[in-house]
Amino acid sequence: MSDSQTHTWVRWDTKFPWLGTAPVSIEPYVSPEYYAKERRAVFGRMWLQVCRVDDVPKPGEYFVRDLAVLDTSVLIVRGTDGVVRGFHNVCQHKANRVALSERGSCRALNCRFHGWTYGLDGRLVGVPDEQGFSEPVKKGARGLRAVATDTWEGFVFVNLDPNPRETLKEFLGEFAQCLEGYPFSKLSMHFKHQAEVHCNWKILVDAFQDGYHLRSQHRYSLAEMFMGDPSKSFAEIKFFKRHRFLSSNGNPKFTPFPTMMLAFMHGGYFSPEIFPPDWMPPGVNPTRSPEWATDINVFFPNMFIQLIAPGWYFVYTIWPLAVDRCLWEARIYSAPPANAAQRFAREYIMITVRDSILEDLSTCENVQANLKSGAIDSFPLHEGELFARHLLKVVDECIQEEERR
Amino acid sequence: MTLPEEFKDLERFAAWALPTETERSEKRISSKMEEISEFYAAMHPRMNAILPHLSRHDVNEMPEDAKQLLYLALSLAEVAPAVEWYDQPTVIDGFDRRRYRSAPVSGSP
Repeated sequence: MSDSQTHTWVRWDTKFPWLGTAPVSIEPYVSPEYYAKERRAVFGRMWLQVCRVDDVPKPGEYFVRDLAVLDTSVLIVRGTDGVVRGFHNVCQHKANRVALSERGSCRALNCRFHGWTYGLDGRLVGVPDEQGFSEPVKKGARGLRAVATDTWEGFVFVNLDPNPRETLKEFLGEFAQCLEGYPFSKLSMHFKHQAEVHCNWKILVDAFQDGYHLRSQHRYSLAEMFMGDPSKSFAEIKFFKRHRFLSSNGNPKFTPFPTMMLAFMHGGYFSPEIFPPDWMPPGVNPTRSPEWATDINVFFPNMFIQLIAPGWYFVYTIWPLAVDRCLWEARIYSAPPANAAQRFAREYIMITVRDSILEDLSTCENVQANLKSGAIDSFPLHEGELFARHLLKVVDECIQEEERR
Repeated sequence: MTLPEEFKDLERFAAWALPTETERSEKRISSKMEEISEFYAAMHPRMNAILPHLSRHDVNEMPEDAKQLLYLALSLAEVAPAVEWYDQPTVIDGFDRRRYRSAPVSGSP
């Protein structure tokens, strides 16, 4: 028996005994008290990916990300010096939202309530009828409240902790280094989808890091593209402290669907002009499997970068709104199409991704609704659901660390 | 709607020539499966001619008749899962498409 054949029959959970094997309690998915702890210990302390630098390509361009989980809204803006900064989107006069739309462009940040104006670096530069204040406004102390902001490979992260315990680089660690050099910024065509989903944020994260549901949940759509059992189809699983990584092979016997075939034949599904032969950073298809289909990079707490064939990547983020509600966002990036056939191929891939996601989201809501029934109190987890175990463990560790502070 | 000469017969599907994903998707989920199947059956065999024809143009500067044909092609991509996966207009047991919002696309004609 060859190594690869032996490999396929090792259950993945046996390689990570430290994750435990017992069924997990439903408590973290339903408890308002637990959610309150997560808000502070996880979302209040970790680096969170809010947009890409391509969302604010030029000085004066801004992007707003509402963070209901932290009762704030973050304004990302590129300064005249080219630096991307983050601020609470809160006017320091009477607390109005400074930027009202999700994105825009300006020479200065002007609050429309009383007209206070801030420079692109957040400094307060204009107070209308300043003489009308009996105490002079201390402009130096009334700039927009800065939020720790940093970028990695064009992804903009913020940290709402006033004193982050780790730099972004430390937070991402070796996990992210493996992906450095991937041509994210060249894949500039961008479809974006959003939906409010009535489930706990971890139920939704789990739906996209679960290899076990594929064959049943996606039986009409994606299932044929994969091998079925995670033992057989997963090429690699790695844990990087809080983050996790899965590389999966596809089904070599898969016959493309008729319209997928059109996209393959005419549409430049791959982008060889962007990807030279040695394009893959070490973190992409790390086993260099010839049957490689996808890598799922799960950034704690709530972001995915999923890589498929060269020329594409998907970013998913999941933003809690309440213990049983969250905002789903999918951004699907590809190389800009050079011709109509490529445009068609991109539409096809985007639509199939979208419809597969619709298969997941309805189930997430069913699950959450049933968690209130009292008819189930724990989940037995399959080897394909190892990442759900890891997510729970890391959240728990964050909460414990917070309680020790 | 006017389509390029060799695709005139597809002008009867003018209702599918829609410029945005949201409109094409709404058309799909509000159509009967027979209508979707008829559109798919007429379009799919022509795609091997349509795509090379369209690709002669710069994707950002397409003449109006070619643009309408591209919109029909994009509607084919939209209905493909309805025909090839679900055999019904919507995702089987899926999340309500109308609750799933598409935001504007960048870098796309």
